[in-house]
Amino acid sequence: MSLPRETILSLRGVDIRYGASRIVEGATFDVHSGEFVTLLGPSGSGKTSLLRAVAGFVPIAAGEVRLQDERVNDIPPYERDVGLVFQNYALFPHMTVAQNLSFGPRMMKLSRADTAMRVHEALQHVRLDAYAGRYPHELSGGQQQRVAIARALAMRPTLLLLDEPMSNLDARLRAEMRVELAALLRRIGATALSVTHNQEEALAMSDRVIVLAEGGIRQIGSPGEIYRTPVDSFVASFIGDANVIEATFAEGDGEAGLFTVPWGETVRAAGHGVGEGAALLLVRPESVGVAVPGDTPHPDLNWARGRLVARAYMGSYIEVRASLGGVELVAKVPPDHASAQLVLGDDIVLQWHPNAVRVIRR
Amino acid sequence: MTRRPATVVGSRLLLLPALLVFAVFAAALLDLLSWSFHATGRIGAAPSGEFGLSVYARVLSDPLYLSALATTFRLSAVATVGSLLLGLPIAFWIVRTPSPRMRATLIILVAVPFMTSLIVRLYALLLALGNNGLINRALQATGLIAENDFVPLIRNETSVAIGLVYFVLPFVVFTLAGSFKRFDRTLEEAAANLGADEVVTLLRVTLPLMAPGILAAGTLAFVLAGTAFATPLVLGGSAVRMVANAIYDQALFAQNLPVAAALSAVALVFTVVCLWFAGRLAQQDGRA
Repeated sequence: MSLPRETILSLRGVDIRYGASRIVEGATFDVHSGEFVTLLGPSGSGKTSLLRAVAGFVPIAAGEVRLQDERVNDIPPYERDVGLVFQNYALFPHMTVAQNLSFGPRMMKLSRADTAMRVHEALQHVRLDAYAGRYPHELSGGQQQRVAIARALAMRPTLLLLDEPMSNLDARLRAEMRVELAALLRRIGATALSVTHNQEEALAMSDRVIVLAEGGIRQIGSPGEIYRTPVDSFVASFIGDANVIEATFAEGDGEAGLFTVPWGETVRAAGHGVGEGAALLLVRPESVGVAVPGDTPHPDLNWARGRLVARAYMGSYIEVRASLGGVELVAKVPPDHASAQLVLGDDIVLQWHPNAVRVIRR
Repeated sequence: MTRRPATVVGSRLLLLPALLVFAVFAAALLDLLSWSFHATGRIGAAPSGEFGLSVYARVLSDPLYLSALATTFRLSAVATVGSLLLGLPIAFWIVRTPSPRMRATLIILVAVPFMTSLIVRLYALLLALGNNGLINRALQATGLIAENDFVPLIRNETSVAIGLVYFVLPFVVFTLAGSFKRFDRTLEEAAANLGADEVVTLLRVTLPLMAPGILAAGTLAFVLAGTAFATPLVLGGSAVRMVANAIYDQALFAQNLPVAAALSAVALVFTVVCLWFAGRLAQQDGRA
């Protein structure tokens, strides 16, 4: 059910350079009305530069940035209708919370009554009504973050930009704010472009994720799409845990392909009946099971024999690491699984369904 | 962790040289103050005359000394404002220059006066400001004044004010630059993002947050200019007397040590009051 939605932000072939080095090359993507889009990538991938270019703080060397169908390449930051939540919040230390929030509306030359209304509304959104008279240094980190969000929202910007919004919060608060922020933005129908290096955060909050590496966009898709069908080994290993296996296409029929793998056996991959030469196989650890001693091999599953080299108790699951002729595979099994009796160095049998195997680009 | 007494005594012994130096300075200052409470006395002789505040009454009622105090206050204020107006853009320029080489060059240009004798610099300034100096010749050449005319720029308060600005400017620039460097520039980006152009950002965000640094630089300028001795001596000659010159004259020429001491005490109290006031302002600023 994809309704035609208004395009809020549109980038076409955007290059960003710093001196001679290219930070971003050929970035092309759209953000639609009401969407939460995340730029996800490791440090140095150019994601923050892209965000700052949209805000107008970084000049673009080539390409075009359009906000609501208006070309903004040469529009100064203070004339762009975007609200940026800074990574360090950048609250004005010499102003109270209310003064911080009214800064934007006052610059827009709103009346006193309208400004007060906007400030009140934004404070309610982030549940900080009682803190209007406080100074930023009198607030906790989490409260400062909410003031920063409210300050951007008080301008009612066309597009909200979030620069690593959760990076300065502790783990517990981070998980809470993820849910709260996503719910707030959905409730008020805000359109947001966020930047993060945290894949969990990107998967949890976004409608769509744009994966960046070395200044280029690798994949754009819903969290489910980029997790289940990553286009290459970088996306596969950056988002979630992954077993990436070097393989060679051996033979195939209409339904599945057979690939020879380094430990000398073959692996069936459903839906990859046609192929040739070298390939990479992706199997997520949660798709890999550990056979209980005494199990008979199920003919439909892929089987592999190896040696248990590591086991880590993670609370909700146990991470099992097995060595198969020099290749290490990881499996996640339930904590009460029968394999818990195995000791390091024991023989172990791994099994996974052909449907769980994806062939990806290098 | 407990320390053995011997170590404590040992480490306290290290303070001894500093305490000794401090004691000498304090004794000298107290001796000077004690002179100001005697009616007569000169260098090399014991103070005499009745003990009391008569010298202070004289100093604070004699138009000669009062005018020296007023001149000092006036010129220090002018030098403070002038050096801040010049120093702010220079400090901004130094801190905001992206090229490290350019920044180093600017810093050296400001620092060079520190490494040159003040007397040499003042005589150079005297030559430039003189009736036949660089500035008057330039004014004649551009036709702003007649060929045989000149603007009096030496032996008056104008020349001393220029000299004082020149003297305190490097201190002001370095104090301001240090404070600008600590300024978080994302605050300026936040202001821009919220719709403020460069001028509004400067007036509503940058300068208010710089206030403690500007206050510190201004206080330093005021105190340095207020205690200046060589600058008014070389550039003002006998026409401009500041407190330091009056003290010197009383002590060495008039051989009136009690008056010199009383003037010193008044100047000292004034400086302390200025510093206290600046401290109060800075504290208020820190609370806001």
